[in-house]
Amino acid sequence: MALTPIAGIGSIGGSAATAGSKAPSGFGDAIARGIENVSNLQSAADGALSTFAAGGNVQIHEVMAATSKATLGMQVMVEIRNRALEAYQQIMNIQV
Amino acid sequence: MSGGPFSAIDIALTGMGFAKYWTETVSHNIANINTVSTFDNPFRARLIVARPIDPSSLTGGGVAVTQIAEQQGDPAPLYQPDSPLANADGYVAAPVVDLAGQMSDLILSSRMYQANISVHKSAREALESATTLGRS
Repeated sequence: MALTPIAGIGSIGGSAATAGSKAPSGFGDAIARGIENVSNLQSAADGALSTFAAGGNVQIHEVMAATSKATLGMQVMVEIRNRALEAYQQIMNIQV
Repeated sequence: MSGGPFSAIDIALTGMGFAKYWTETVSHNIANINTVSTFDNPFRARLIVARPIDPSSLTGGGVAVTQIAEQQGDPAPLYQPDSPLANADGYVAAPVVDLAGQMSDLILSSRMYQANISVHKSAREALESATTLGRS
């Protein structure tokens, strides 16, 4: 008789997992997407810089804006990492 | 282009690009201040015409060049009988460039570039401050 509620919990977890695989949700997915965006900003800055250095058709202010966007993205990422780590440490320091 | 964390930076970039293009056309016009020509095809100053990008959206999207106009008016005749471009009376057409106006445009375009750099700096500083929000 005790096995019935356990099976019910299992099915709820399974549906949540399938929903999660279709539409990204949760902190881990958000972090992964954020890191991908930061990476894209950095490769855009890198591309603009090498095009400019090679004398390509890119203007100096575009290079500078791309690098400042990459810097800002990195700052946000580091800041979120610090906050997440802080939260984790606070939980780990809970006295039981 | 509007929306997104960097929209203010992107809009300021369109202004910088426009100002740079403007400076380039002014440079071209001033460089040709002594370019004489025949009367049927005198050198005319290039004047760029601005257009707002996406003006119906919530914030707008910046500025772009929509067309290049030529300065109108009749070219002044210059007596240069030895020039291969001279007409039967020995005259060539002076370029149709308003030098004083071009110098004013040069100041304006340079200030426009600087103003957009200020916008970029301000937007960047605001975003940097936002990353410190709630920091213990």
